Amino acid sequence: MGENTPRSSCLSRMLDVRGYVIAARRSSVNAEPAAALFMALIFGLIALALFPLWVTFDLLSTWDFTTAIRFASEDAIYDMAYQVEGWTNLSVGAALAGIVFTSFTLLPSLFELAFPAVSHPLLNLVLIISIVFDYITDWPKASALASQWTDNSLIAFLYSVALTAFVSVGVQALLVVAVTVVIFSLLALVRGGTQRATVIIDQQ
Amino acid sequence: MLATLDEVIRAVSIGLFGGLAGTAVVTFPGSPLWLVPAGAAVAGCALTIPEIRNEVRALLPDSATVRGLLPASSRGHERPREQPERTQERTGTPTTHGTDTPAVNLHERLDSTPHRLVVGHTGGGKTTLLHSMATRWAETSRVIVCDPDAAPGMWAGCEVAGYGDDLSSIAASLNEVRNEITRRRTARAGGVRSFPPLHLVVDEAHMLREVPDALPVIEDVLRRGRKLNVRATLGTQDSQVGTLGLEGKSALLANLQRVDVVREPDGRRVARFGKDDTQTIPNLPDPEQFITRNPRTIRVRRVPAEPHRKPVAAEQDDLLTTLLNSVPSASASPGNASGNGVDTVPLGTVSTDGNEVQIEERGGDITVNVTQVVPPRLGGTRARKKADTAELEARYRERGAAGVTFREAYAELKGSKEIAFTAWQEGKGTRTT
Repeated sequence: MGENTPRSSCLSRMLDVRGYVIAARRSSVNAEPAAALFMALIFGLIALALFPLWVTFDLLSTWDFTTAIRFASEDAIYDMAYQVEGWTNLSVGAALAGIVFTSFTLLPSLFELAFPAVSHPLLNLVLIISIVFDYITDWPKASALASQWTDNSLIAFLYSVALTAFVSVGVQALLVVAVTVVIFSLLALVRGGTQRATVIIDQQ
Repeated sequence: MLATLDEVIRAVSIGLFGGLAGTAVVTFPGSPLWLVPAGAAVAGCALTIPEIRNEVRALLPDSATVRGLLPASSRGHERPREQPERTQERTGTPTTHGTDTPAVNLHERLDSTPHRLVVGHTGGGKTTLLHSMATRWAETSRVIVCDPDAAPGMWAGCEVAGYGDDLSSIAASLNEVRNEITRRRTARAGGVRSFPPLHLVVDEAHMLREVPDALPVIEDVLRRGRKLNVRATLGTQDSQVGTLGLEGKSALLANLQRVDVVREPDGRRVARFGKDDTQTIPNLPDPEQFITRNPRTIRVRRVPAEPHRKPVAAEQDDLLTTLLNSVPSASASPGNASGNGVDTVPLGTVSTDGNEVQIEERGGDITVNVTQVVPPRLGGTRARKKADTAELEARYRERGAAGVTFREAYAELKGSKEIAFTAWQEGKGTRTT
């Protein structure tokens, strides 16, 4: 009897962004320049299409929802940026404050992307909280859109459940995959070009 | 598998309660009301994490209904299709009944050899696996358990020795095994070939070094127990011969099917049969949950001592037909080995698989009787309980009639106090009248 450990379920493999990223890297890393260029263009267009969706339904929703938290911590963040500016004698304070503010918004999404790679009960719990939080913050906009499709409140609720799941998890996952393919395709394109240049120099 | 139950629970929790929380955010802006369904969503998802589920389960009282809904341990992708059914009979004797699950497959694999060595570090799940096997065997066979960490109610249906490091009781149990082996050898010498299984289960087997005369019994079982259907299962933290007290006898380990019970980094428990041969251990009942302060020791199913016998007609048995044809003076007398008024001289009894042949001489004729030995049928749970209760009542009546006090009788026999007292009183009444 060989290895009898069961595989992960279909759903968990579908939602495992790491798997997509690894697959994208494998498919792109040895691509010929033409194929790499084609993939970069196509997946770049997909990423461009998904980006506004992600910004609208995910990023801005979370930005709105976390307004109170940002306001509450505003003084501390600006104070921190001011101190950094003093130490470095550079005007990085404003940029730092912007990064910290944006991180508030991105934090749930970052958890969702990063923590599936680590198997620990506490981190799993943090991941779950992030997903739930992201889902709730994305709900108002998705629900407002879904409620236009029907007058039945129950069906509107079910539509909202599905649409929020899509914009909260699906769009983000697709965007990550598309961006990953674009990055690795560009790397393959650059590497292919470099190899061709080396061959030409060798021939000369 | 499309999705595991844990994943479905997560999806439903987030979709339903997350949706309600989102609706609360929209409907009651600025209100913290959304935190209630959000908390429910997080809690529902958190219960799908095995470690958290186990902690919650441990906090709940035994009687909590929801406790039964929370399996002791599992990871989402390893949950078997059906949980082994856990029942606690009304008598208070807990039993485990497996179904056609990976647990059964694991048991079948472990049962495929006469003897087993279960190796696992502390907390690795060694005792849980041993408990699962032993209680399963106890439903149809005699099981003797030697466990220095045994507690009341833990090993349902088994004969247990070793409570509280009581090594003398372990020695007594092993002596009983030795006697049973002797009886079976004698029977085998008389032609008996098939015996009901006798399982000897030893948890924390390293303590056998400290039990007088234990190791020769174990060695005898491991070397020659198979033919007598005496099977040994040892649980230990390592398989060093020094630990088991088998220095210079490492060849004995070849008679054991070794299985390492280990916990994988992702929390799964697996049974490792070889370097590249592992099998996931599904949910098994935690033996600790059966421990009780008020044990009731009515035994579960037992194979009756005497199997049912029915005569076989001459034309149905090839051996009998051959004998009748080859011995001119032989005659068949199914079911009537001893003739009336005629002196019979028994010439011998031979047992083959399923049949017992008795040869006698009656008045110059050879009488051959072939009896089909029918294995005892196990009745349903209700029938067994009824039989057990009747047997218990009869014993209490005997004690009552013999003048034994109820306290002494109860200390010896245990069981339902109400039934016991009534039967004891009946027996006592018989004595006084």
